Amino acid sequence: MKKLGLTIFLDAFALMLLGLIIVMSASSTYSVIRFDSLFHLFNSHLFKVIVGIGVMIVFSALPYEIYKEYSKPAIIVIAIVLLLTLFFAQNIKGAGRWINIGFFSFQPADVAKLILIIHLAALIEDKGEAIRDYKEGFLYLLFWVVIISVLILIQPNVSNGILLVLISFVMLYIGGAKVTHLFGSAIMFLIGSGIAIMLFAHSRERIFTFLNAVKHGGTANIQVKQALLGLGSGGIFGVGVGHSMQSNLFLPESYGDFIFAIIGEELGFIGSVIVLVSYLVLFTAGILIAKKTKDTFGQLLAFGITFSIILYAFINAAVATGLVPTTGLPLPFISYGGTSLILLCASVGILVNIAYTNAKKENAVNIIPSTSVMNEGE
Amino acid sequence: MSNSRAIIIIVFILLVFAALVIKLVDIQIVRSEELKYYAQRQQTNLEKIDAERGMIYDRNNVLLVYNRNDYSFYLDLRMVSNKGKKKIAEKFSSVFGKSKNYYYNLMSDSGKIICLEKKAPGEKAFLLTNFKINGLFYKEDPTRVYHYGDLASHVLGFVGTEDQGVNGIEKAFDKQLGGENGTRLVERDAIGDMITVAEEETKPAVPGDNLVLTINKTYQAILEEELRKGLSEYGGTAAIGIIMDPNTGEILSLANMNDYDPNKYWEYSDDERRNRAVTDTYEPGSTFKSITMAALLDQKLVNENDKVFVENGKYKFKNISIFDTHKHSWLTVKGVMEESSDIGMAKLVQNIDDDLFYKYVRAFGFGNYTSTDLPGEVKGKLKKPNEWSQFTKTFMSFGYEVAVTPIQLITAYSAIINGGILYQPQLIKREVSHNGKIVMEFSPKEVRTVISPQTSAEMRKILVGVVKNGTGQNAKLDFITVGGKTGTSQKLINGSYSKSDYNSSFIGFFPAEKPKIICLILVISPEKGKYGGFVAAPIFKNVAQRIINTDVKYFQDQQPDQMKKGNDLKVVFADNKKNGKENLVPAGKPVKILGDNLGAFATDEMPDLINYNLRDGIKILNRLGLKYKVNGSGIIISQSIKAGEKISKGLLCNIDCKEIKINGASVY
Repeated sequence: MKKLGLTIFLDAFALMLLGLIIVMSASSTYSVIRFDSLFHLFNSHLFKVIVGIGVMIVFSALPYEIYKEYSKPAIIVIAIVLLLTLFFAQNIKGAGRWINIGFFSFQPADVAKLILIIHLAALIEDKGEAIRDYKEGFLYLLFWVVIISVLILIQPNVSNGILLVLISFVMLYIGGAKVTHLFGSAIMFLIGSGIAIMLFAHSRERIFTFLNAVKHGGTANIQVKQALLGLGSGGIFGVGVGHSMQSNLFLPESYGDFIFAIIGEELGFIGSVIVLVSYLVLFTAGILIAKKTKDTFGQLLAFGITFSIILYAFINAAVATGLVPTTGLPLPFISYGGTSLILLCASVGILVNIAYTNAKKENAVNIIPSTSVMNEGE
Repeated sequence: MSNSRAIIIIVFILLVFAALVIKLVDIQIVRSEELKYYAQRQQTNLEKIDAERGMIYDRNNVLLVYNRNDYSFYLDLRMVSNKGKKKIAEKFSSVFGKSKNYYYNLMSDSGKIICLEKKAPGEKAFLLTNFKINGLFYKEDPTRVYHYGDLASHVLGFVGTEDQGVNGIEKAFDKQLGGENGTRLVERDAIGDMITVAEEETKPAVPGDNLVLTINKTYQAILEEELRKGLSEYGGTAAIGIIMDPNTGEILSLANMNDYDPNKYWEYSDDERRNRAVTDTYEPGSTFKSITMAALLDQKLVNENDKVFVENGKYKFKNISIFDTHKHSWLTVKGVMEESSDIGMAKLVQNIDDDLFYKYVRAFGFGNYTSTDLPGEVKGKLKKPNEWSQFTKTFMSFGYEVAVTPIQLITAYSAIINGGILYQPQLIKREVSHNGKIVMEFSPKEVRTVISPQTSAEMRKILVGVVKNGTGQNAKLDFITVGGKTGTSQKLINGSYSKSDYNSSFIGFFPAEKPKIICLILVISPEKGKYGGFVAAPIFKNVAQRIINTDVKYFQDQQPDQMKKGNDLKVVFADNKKNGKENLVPAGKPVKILGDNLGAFATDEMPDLINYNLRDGIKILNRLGLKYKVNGSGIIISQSIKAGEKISKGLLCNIDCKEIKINGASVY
């Protein structure tokens, strides 16, 4: 267990280090032109990485069981914050998703995502077998999923909202909800989000350009086209760290949502696959932690967090390679970005804590085989 | 937590992973080369390095044209903030002295990249070296500088916005001056800023060659000043002047008035920028009589002292009347030239047949390009004999029905006075590479020999007479003998000859015995004076006097030297009376006159040619089928084959002639 916790910590740490290097390389041109300093964005990113590691350590030290008690007030508070964001947030990139508190702005959606995962895990444990009952259990769980994701969707932050629903549903699925219930609500939700996508211009455009591109066999949009040029010029071995040409403003957001393309350009096919494998390793370790964890809350929390990380990572890579429409989601641990990185660190801290707490229990009890715990939930 | 359900999720994740890896194989391995190609195409570009344009010097290495290192300032409006715009407006307004609003107006443009200052001089640009604003950038933008403004503008020409030669030498020698642009492979970012330069792909620019012209800057300035002065004094739509070295064809000066400033060529009309000296033709009028006369003399068809009845100023030729301005009854051939008698010329030209006359005119370069280096040259108009009407030859003899360019005329005159050799007008002395190596030394180009040195000497004498006694007296200088010919031609306007518009011209040369300078002055439609002798000759005189004053010794020292050497020149400068006596035919030996009795000569026996005039002598020799070599002109005083000797066709006979002044008697 401890090894799994360490694996996750080291894996995340390695990805953040890589992130620092790639952000430096990818942001320097933009920094010079926009801010007249090679290190402007890098410094800001470095600061957040340091804060993030601090947060990670703090959260790995906090016993995860205590979240159960605070999850309900926390989710109420974040729901209110999201509501306020709708009215007061600054309008950035066509989406009012940022809120400014003093020295930095953050996305309440990132915080809401983690709180929802925690609260869902707590609720599923709380409901137990009742989750299979639509009115008594499932609907009660669905309530918070709908509240939080709709508040995020209408910010509008469609892709984050949809992913949050997906994470929630996977948690409900793992937690034992009836497939029919899930399907029914999924269909309802698809209709709802379809309407949401069409309501907001920027998400509507993205879908249309993607569909157009698929129809005409072209590339989705300029960003994806430039991302493909970056990945392609990397070849098998890459052009070498710091030698990316695509980051010279050809690829917009090269240090943010499209950083995967720069990784592919500088480190080649080998580098990009290693990065994907790193996420897979983190995912496997997370799943194993979940498997070995004795309480349902811990299991579902570990699973939810792990799943959300790999989901974001793979969706991001899928966007950069043109497999899915452009979403504007960061690559976990690597992309330049504030709130999401710090929240990711908090998540990893929680995972590590779950691993270490359960390792202690393992040592203390030392009789129950871990597999029997897994069966408990069924 | 359900194990089986977890496995489904894990399988799903693994499928996504597999899909991603497959996609990456496709992008990064299968399509790598193709994508790399497109990426490099947008990331790099082959950038031109402009070669520095060569400089232009006058014949004494006075720098006429060079380049100034200017800088142009541009602003990318997509990159600049409002604060930046404010800073730019303030800074630029303080440096360039324009109002802030001027710059605000520029910056309110909707374009992407605007030019704030074009070709700002280096010292101003220097003030902006440390002024950095997002989106503001500059480029080296050298400016061609014509140091003396409008001086020699029609010779030099000018360059267009891309530094390409548009006119004059700049155009004709664009390739030599332009050098070879280099290239460098530059990696760029999306907004085009340079990132790196691939040194191994760089081909440096080779600066253009410098040109040394045959132009003499001092003469050019004199010519332009005098033309300008003349134009304001006599009026007229334009004035043209060319100064040439008749012995080499080198153009020493060439000017058109009005002229233009190549530094600001856009402020002038095409009309002002046109180099009329090569692009415009005109009917030369009397100046063309020298061409006719040279042909007649060269063929020994007239003698300068032959007498012609000039009909008291009005002559009905076929059904057309020809009038003379100066009315006379009898004139010598020399007199015809001096008094510029059209009637006399019309009569004399009947001695030469059409084809031969055409051959001479053609040989003098009319109806053809002189191949001067100046662009836009035209051929003029010379009809072929089969296109001639019954009047063409007659009219052509005094300069109508033929259109010439000033450069053609001065080139032909050079041949008339330099001993008979037609040179190609030359404008470039040498081409020197940027590092001082002589690429090419241009030497005078002989086109052909048109007339014999003797004819040339006779022509010089006749033309000296024109200035001394005739219509060209206004060109007379105090200490240097000048030869020349005036020309006044009615302008052909809409197919008929104008009564009010004239081309007034004068071509003169000096020192007459061994000409160093020949100069053509043409004033188009003068308001005052009308005649070449009253308008162009005085301008010529001023130019000549001032040129001589620049180097009195150079022009004077030659004189005594030439007196000694040139035996045929002696005649020209010797006192007429004295000479006349010397040359008088001894008493009792009257000059023979050839009648219609040519058939009386036996064809196998050499006749006595002594005391025949040369022209008749040659007629006889031609009839006998003898070859001959003539020395001198005038009356035949000796013959190598003695009279009565047996002859056969093709034999060579040397004939010596002597000038004889016959007072008051017609040789006819």
